[in-house]
Amino acid sequence: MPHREAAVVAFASGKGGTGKSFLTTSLAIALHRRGRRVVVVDCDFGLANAHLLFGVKPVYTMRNVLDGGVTTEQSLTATPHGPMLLAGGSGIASLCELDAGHMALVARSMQWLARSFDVVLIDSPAGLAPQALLMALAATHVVVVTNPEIAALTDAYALIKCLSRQPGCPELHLAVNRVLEPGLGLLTYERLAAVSKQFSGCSLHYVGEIAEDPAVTHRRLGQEPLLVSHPTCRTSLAIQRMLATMQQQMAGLEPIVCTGGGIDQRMTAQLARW
Amino acid sequence: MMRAPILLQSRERLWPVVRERLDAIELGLELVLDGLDCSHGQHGFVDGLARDGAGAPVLVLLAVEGDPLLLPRVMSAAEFLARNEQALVHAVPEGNYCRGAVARILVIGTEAANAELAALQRLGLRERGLPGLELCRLEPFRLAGTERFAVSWIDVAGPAVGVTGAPIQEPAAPSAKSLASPMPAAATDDPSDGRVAGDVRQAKSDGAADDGRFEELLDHGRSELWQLVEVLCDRLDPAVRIEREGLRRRITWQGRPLGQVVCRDGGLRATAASGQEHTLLSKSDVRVFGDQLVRRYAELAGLRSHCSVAAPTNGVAAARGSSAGAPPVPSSFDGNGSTPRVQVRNAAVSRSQPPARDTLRSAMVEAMLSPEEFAALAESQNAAMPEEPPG
Ligand SMILES: Nc1ncnc2c1ncn2[C@@H]1O[C@H](COP(=O)(O)OP(=O)(O)O)[C@@H](O)[C@H]1O
Ligand SMILES: [Mg+2]
Repeated sequence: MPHREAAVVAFASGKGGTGKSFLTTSLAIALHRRGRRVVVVDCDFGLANAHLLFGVKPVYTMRNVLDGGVTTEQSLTATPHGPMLLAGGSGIASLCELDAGHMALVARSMQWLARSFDVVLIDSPAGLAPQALLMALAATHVVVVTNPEIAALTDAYALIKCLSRQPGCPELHLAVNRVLEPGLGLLTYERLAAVSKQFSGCSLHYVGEIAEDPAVTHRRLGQEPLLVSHPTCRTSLAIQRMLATMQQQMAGLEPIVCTGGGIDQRMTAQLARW
Repeated sequence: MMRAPILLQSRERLWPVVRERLDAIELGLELVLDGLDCSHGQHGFVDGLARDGAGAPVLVLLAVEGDPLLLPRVMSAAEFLARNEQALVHAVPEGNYCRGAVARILVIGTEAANAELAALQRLGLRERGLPGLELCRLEPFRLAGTERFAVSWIDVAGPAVGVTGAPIQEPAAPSAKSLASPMPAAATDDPSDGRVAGDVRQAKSDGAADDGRFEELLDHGRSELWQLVEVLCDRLDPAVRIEREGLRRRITWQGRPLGQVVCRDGGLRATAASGQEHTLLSKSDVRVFGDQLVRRYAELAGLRSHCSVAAPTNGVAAARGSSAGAPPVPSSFDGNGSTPRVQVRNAAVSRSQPPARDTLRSAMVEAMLSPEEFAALAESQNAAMPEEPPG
């Protein structure tokens, strides 16, 4: 039965701290303002912090879903800025070590979310853990978030190389965050794209750069997201531009019609390779 | 043309068939010795002394049609067990019995012996003291030209199950296991066409006599591990079932086997659908077995074809469209691996498995950067930030 499913974008990175959560939550707010029903899924199970960036205190998290205590719908937290959040179980060590059975449950949750929202944004776990690869491979698009430094770059490339070799790998996009001077993002992209093409034979799409902005780093807990408090500042405008580029590259981020299996089947297919 | 039933009614014809197939009747049951005389005389004749998967002695008796001695024989066997249960450990060293394991009596009959089985059932129900009496009935039938037999267990602790005439329980669908394990040619009793016979097990009802033994035999640690397996199955899919069958727990999804766990000598032996075996000693063993269950589940859900679409960079369209179900590959755990048919099936299973390297974990290893890749990225870094000293 053909059915409609949300565009599912996974924000991934080879190493932590590149700004995945910042970008995911900011883009979610921007998308909501464009009239889309958006949900953010915090899959950074070890270091979940999307709820902090949204300024909410979730009653339920992914952990409750995995324990079978609540349904996916019950587990959602409404944020003051529009998007819904399925919070990650922050600081719960056991969740860092998800097994295939857990991921099968995550797959069912994702299916429900994809059928209930227009856009699903996944704040992926950092690194190359199986669950990170699984989330990325199940998405319709992957945005690899990197910084221009060599350490972030090599980790981003490792992720790209790894993902691109997997059957069923979605389109790969690159966002460069925390750039110190304008244009450095594009340069970083060009080099990374060249190396990816040369050594791994894969293409990357550039979604844009965000400057290093002390206003982001120095935000205090409970403060509104930058996009809300300073919608016209340089960083907020860059976020808006990034969203526009993503929409261009990702079929408008419109829901897709699935003739075969949806996200749960894509996840289950990858689970066969756990 | 009338075909002779494979299980002829004489003890001489039936016993050779049954003694070869004890393991198919109850997993882990093996014959130790034929012909035990436990009370000096015709009342004391027991067809075979066996050892079950838990290391307990089992006195096996055949029930054949019109056998007036069956009842006294069973009574004699029960008395013998009551007297000598623990002494058997020493008296029959070839049995390799476990000290403290509870002995029992297993009576095996065919449909022709329904009246005898029913009488025994009544006896078992009345004589609560009769230690561990178990009854089962073999029912031969033909499938795809081969003779099979179904095993149905007769409840001696509750209401009658299928002992009066027509079977009350529907025979279970042939399991992949039984289809994949044709009866050894030597055991066939249908010389007219030389075809081999297998068996189909009918899962015991939840209330059946020894189903709780699996859990009882586990010590605290093993019991926790088994509970972990149960939780895992529960999580996987509501359609995943754990079928209780004596000392075996078969894990199935929509009737198709994902794996099984057997309690053997107080330990837990898990077998994945691929045939890979694990002794479950720790949580990480359970995790490894669980991963294989999930993988099998994903395969059976018809999803492997999706993964086999090689699409390095632009696989979205190709991969998204394919959800066609790969034909389920029958698995063959505990099948008799020596027959060519089974080997073919095993080969089919291994073909459907990802090669050892093709897993998400192996992909992580492949992500290691080569010196050339690293140099190319570092070079680009220097080009992007020419002011930085090269490092
Ligand atoms: N453009 C930026 N400018 C300055 N600081 C940033 C920027 N983007 C992210 N940060 C900071 O970097 C840190 C890591 O960001 P976060 O989004 O949590 O990364 P991740 O989710 O990838 O681990 C946070 O302290 C955040 O405030
Ligand atoms: Mg984060």
